Amino acid sequence: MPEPIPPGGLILEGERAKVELENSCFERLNWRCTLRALPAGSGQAASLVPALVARGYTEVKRVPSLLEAFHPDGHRVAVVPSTGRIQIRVSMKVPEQERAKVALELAEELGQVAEGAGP
Amino acid sequence: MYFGPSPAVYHCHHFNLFLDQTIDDALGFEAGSRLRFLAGREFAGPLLSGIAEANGATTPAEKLDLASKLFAGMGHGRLQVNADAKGGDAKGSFLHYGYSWSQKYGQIVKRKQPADAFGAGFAAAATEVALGLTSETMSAQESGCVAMKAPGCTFTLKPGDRVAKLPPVGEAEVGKQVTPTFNGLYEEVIQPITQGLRDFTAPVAGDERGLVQAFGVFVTLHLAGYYNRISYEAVQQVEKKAPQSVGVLEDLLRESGHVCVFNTFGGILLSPEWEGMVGPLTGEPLPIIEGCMAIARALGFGRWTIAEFEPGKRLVVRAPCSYESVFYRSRYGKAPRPNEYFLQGACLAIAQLAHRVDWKAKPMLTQDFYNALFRGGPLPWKVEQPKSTSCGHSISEVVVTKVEGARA
Repeated sequence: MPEPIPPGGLILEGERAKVELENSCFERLNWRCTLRALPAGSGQAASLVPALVARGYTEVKRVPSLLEAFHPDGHRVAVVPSTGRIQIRVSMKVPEQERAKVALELAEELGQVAEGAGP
Repeated sequence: MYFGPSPAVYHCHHFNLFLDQTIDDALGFEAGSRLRFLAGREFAGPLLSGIAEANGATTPAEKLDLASKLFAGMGHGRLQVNADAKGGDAKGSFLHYGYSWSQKYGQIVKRKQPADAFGAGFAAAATEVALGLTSETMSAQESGCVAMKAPGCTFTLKPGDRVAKLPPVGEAEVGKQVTPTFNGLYEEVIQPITQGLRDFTAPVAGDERGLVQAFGVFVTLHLAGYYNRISYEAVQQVEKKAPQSVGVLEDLLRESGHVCVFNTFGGILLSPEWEGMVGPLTGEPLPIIEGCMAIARALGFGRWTIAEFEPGKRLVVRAPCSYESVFYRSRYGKAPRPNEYFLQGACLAIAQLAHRVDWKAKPMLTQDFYNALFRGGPLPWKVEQPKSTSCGHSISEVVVTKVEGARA
């Protein structure tokens, strides 16, 4: 059983990124991602998606106002081009107690992509 | 909104579980689950017949395969029916009700009864349609359910469960009740958002589990007749057996509107999809009210319009009709009093969300937050419905006003 979510929410800091728990149907699935190399509102977030596709993600185009890239393991990265908001949606197949760790790992990968560091 | 020949709406797992529980609380589990099964079977039948015909499915195998795909496409999970005229069985995995119940409550509540009466009704109807049997004659009992910690959901199907036919409520009947549409205030904002949401929801289909996970909820495309029959028949049964309790049941049916607006509307408002389409939330009440009208329309609840809005004081919502009122009029005729419970509860909840939620703080829509907003003492709003198309009025109108002395 994972620890209960504190009233103030959950924030995890990594080397390249920060993830903050967001609303989701079940616990710990959706995480707001802030990349140190890509400050919110910089207008560069949209460029992440083609870079993720080059790393094996699949882009799914549903509406032009939201870009989405699907990780081979079922995770999703949603990017709002107009505001730079990035949301990581961890696959429900990941046990709840591991979702925060997986979200931060994905965010670090995004950070790496944003820095142009490559794999 | 129609899905094939059937009136349909989108609702989330929070609403679905709450409404089913309300019916069981009102009638007891045996009668409640029986009613839910009958409603599922009744309204799945015409849907399955219509979709089979439209898709050219003719053999039993083709029709059962189509039924399985349809169920998953609507976000209800994976259901495999293996039956002939003498009966058979069905197996379900990730069924919306049982699976979402186990995910939401499984760690804190031990459930002793199965949760998938709608799935049972759908399996029975699929068998009837596939084999050309008389409609509403096949029984289906769920013997194992993931909500009871079974590894999967299992159903036993048997013939010989005939009930008296009720007046149908399909496209033809509902069409007669739909009244001319009209505009309200702020249409220039509401209509483009509605269209944007429809564009987003149109291609949505079940994932590999047959579930639709979006906006922070599990979404189902569901049969409006199911919701309406279980709600109105529960009220009628309680009126006969325990009339003193009708008010409590009506309050719970209104609360289903709170649950829906808080979880689904709130989830949509907080989503990246919304931010991309509409922009970040400002924290002002009016954009929330406008947005909620658009969400209601996109989910198939009816053309909800803003007739009046005075921040902190009053909200008047009008609609040409609702998915509740067209059902009621089609099946029962004129209602003695306004009874669009979901519409009433939803409008009150919209006022609460617009005034009492700090959207800029990006809140988590938790049960604790819900309890604080809707169960933490007397609500600062009261809701009245002076006009209802259920009663024969030309429009449905809901008035939400601030309670004297309450902080809005």
